Formats: sequence, C-alpha cells, structure tokens
Amino acid sequence: MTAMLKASNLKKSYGKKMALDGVSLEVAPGRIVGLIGPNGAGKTTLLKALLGLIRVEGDLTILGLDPIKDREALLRDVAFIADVALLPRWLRVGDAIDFTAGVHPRFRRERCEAFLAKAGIDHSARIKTLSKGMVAKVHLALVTAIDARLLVLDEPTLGLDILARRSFYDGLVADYMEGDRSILITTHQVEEIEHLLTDLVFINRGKVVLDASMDSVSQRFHELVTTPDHTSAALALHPVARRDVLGRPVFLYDGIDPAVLTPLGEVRTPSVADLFVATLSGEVA
Amino acid sequence: MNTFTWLIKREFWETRSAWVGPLATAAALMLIAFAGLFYGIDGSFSAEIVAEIGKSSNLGLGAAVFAGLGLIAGAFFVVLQITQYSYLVDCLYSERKDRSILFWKSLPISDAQTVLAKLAFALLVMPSIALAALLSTQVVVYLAASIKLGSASGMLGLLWSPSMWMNALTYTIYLYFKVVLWALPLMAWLVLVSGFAPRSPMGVAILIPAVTALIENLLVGTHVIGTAVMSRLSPPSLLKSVPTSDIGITPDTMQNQAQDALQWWAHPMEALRVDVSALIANPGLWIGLLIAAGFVMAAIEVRRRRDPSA
Repeated sequence: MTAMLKASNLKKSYGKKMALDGVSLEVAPGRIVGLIGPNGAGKTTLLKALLGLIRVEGDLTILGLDPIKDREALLRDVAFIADVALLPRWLRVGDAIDFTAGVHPRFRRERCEAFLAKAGIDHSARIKTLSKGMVAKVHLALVTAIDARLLVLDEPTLGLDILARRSFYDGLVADYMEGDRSILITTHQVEEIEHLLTDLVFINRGKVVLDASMDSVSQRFHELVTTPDHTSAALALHPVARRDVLGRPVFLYDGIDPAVLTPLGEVRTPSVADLFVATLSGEVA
Repeated sequence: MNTFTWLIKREFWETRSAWVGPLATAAALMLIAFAGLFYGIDGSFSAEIVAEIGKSSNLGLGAAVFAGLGLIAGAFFVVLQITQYSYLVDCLYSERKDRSILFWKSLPISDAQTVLAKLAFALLVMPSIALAALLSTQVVVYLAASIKLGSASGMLGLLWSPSMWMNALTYTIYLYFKVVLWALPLMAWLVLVSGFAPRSPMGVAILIPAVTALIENLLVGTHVIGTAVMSRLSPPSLLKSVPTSDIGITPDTMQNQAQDALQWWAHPMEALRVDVSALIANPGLWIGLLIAAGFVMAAIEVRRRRDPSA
C-alpha cells in the first residue's frame, strides 16, 4: 500500500535556529504514530508543515497531495487539531456543529452529538461560558467526528483531567480507527498513549533520532533490573543507559539477545518514557 | 447550503455590530420623531412652518419631503460606514488574535472563499440589514410627521407619494453602490492590513499611508498619495450636466451631495443616466477597482502564507 504521508529531508529555519534539520518520515495506512520530543524539538513545526500551514524545504506529500498547493482537497481527508481549545469565544456549540456539518462533506453529526451528550455539553452554550476542558472536548468532538483518512493531533488532551484523557483515547481507538486510517499524535503524557501506538518517532533539535515500530522497539530494546553485585557483568554487555531505581541499577540494552540478560536479573521492555530519556541523552544511536 | 453561505452565516453570528448599529440608529431616530410628536411645537404651528417653507423656497415642499427621507438615510449611511470600516480592519485580525484561525484552517475552506465571504458580508449583508432598518425608520418618522401635521396641512399626499418613496429608495441604493465602488480601494486595504498587522490593525492601516504621504511630501514636495487617499472618502459629484436652473440652485450654493440629491429629486431618470455614464467614464473608478482587486488578492495570499500560530 502507498504511504499516507511521505516526507523527505524537510528543512525549516527560524533565523539561525533549524526547527527542522532534514526530517524524513513515512506513515503507512492503519498506523498510530506517536511523535515524541522535548519542547522546541520541532514537533509543532513538523505538524504545521504536514498540514500546509507553513512552507518548508524538501519533498512532502500527504495522500499523494501537496499540502500547500492542494490544501483544500487535502483537508477533506486530513483532520487536525493544531492546538486545543481555540474555538472562538462568540461561537455557540450548536452553531459550531451546524457550520462544520455544512462545510465538511465527511462530518458525522451523530458521532459529534453523541460525544457531546456524553460530556454533558449543551448545544446552546457559548464557547466563552465553558471551561477550558469543556472547550477542548467540543473541539475534539468536532474534529474526531470527521471521517478523515489521516488525523493529526498536537497535544490533543492538554488541559483535560485524567478521566477525560482516558475516555478520549479509548474513544479515539474505538470510534475512529477502522480500515486503513492513520493517526499522528504528539503528547507530553506519552505513558498514557503508549499502549495505543503502533509506531514511535523521536525528534530532537529538528532531527528524527528514532523511527521504529513498537514491535521492533520491543524486540530491539531491553531493560535489565539487576542487583549491585551484577553491575560489572551488566556493564560488560555494553548497556546504552543506566539509571537507579530504589537502589537497584537498571540498564537499557539496544539489540541484545534477552537470553544473555536473564541470568543477571529481571528483563523487561522499557517504557517509551525511559527509552525517550535514554535516547535524548544521546546514549542510544 | 453551500460553503459560501455558511461562511456568511458565520460572520453573522460573530458580528453583532451588523444589526446593533442599524437598530440603535433606528431606535434613536424613532425616539426623536416621537419626542417631536408629543413635546414639540403644536400641529397648527407646524403646518404654518411648512407653508412658510413652501412659499419662501423655490424648491417647493416636495424637495423638503425628499430631503427628509435623505436626512434619515444619511444617518444610517454614517453608522453603516463606521461599522463596515471597523469590521473590515478587524476581520482577519480577530481570528489570529484568539488563534481560532487554526480551527477555521482545519476545515476544507479556501483562503479565497474566507476573504471574499468577509468582503461580501461587509459590502452586501451589512447594508441590507441597514436598508431594512432605514425603511422602517422612514415609515415611522413620516407617520409621526403625518400625525403631527394632520390632514389639514395638505401634506399627506406629498409625504406618502409612492413616486417620491421609489425615487428616494433608488437614490439611496444607487448612492450606496457609488460610494462603495469609489471607496473600495480603502476598504480592501483595511482587509489586507487586518491580515498582516501584528497588532492594532487600524493604527497600522492609517500609519502606512500617512508616513508614505509624509515621505513623498518631504522628498518630492508633492501631495499625490495624500490627495488620492482622501479623494476616496467620498465619490465625485457627477451631476453638473443636469439642468439646475429650474430648481433654483447653482453649483456654489450647496454641497455636492445635497445638490446631487435635489437634482435626483427633480429629474430622477436623467440624473441616473448622467451619473452612471459619468461614473463609468471616470478612469479613477477603474484604477480604484484595480487597486482594490490587488489588495484583496494580496489579503488572500497573506492568509494562505502566514504562519497562523505566529
């Protein structure tokens, strides 16, 4: 199948700072890709480039379309939230639904209304009378009710409490993911979405530092929880990172047979957050 | 409904001034009319004044009745223009300020559709609302005048003459389009500035031409830019070639706009014919429209290219 999204060697600089420094990325149909990076890593710049909101150097096609030239056609198949809760204050919830239904051929009103009913949001309410979390829910309800082929979410749950975040992500997978649709998502709360992701992309200082499927991540990386007396043996196997948890050393290995580690202690798959920290400290190549 | 209709509807939701302005004007004028009805000079005296006007002025009572309709229209014109200018200079700025542009841009709507819908809202929807309020006000004020003057004044026939009202209505609508077409470069400039000004778009919209005109004056010593900008605020009076002697005015006795109106009252068909052909023959109109088209295209391009979150 052809890629949903194909970017190669994207570059964008703001003054002297390279926000994107040769980013290449592919998203295949049916994937949920987590784009993870520290603040200022270039995540938002990359997403804005993908959505045709800014111009960048390099080759970029989404669903075979140019995001700048074919922007309107693209937006029939790509839905996005570039930042949550920025619906205009004067808008009424019901008007927002009518408007989106009026201009978007793929908008599913029933789904949006069901989502809002569950959240207990009244259609006659004006955005300015709602709390930030409620506005975020209205925004999510509108955008995720679009039957798009690619959904791009930049920190979609910022400002929501943990219950709302959980129900949003559960709903996203249950309602949105079907067939060959894909989602590209950034978030700081990576532990909340790691079980959803099929692919992982780490980005730092405008460069992609890791691009792997979750399956290959769990095959390639292993974490060993050991005891101080096994430290030298563990170090001899060239771990890529070390940290200590409650006095027990924890080592991260890249591309090692887990059978080698088993005698030294407990072997497990590292969390995305741990992998991220290790990767960013430059120890994993 | 198509996308464009939805965009117009959206502007209607957002822009309360589109109906608050005309409604407030209507309320104020009706209040004045009623105040005159109950607290003003008494009816017989009014009838005498009317008769006096009729005798002393060689324009006749008809002109006074026509001018009355025109005065009411003038009040709505002023309010409409203020509303339009402040709407246009804000229309691409407010969505950037509250960052809702990121939501609007996530929907399959082109930047051209968005900008053109905003222009259409200001230039066609806003005046339609104003026109409805204007007509209601004219009817109410003339009803009050009819009650005040009473049937004895012999004025009722004039006050409610259908041809008088048709004449005034066509003049109002024609004058509106003439003013808008003439001022279109200014209006389009406001839209463009609202698309790029980092803050205070009205200040930027005034400052840029003002500074340019100042530089021109200092360097070359001419006033071409300043004159060109100011000349757009009101369209040229084009009725010089209509006979005026029979209604007793000469070009020097009145302001251009009032003179135009009276000529329109006296010779509506002739005035329309002369005015339209003179307007079309005026290269200033076409140059202005070309500049306006350039500004609108630039505004569309700015909305397309500008990083919406910056």
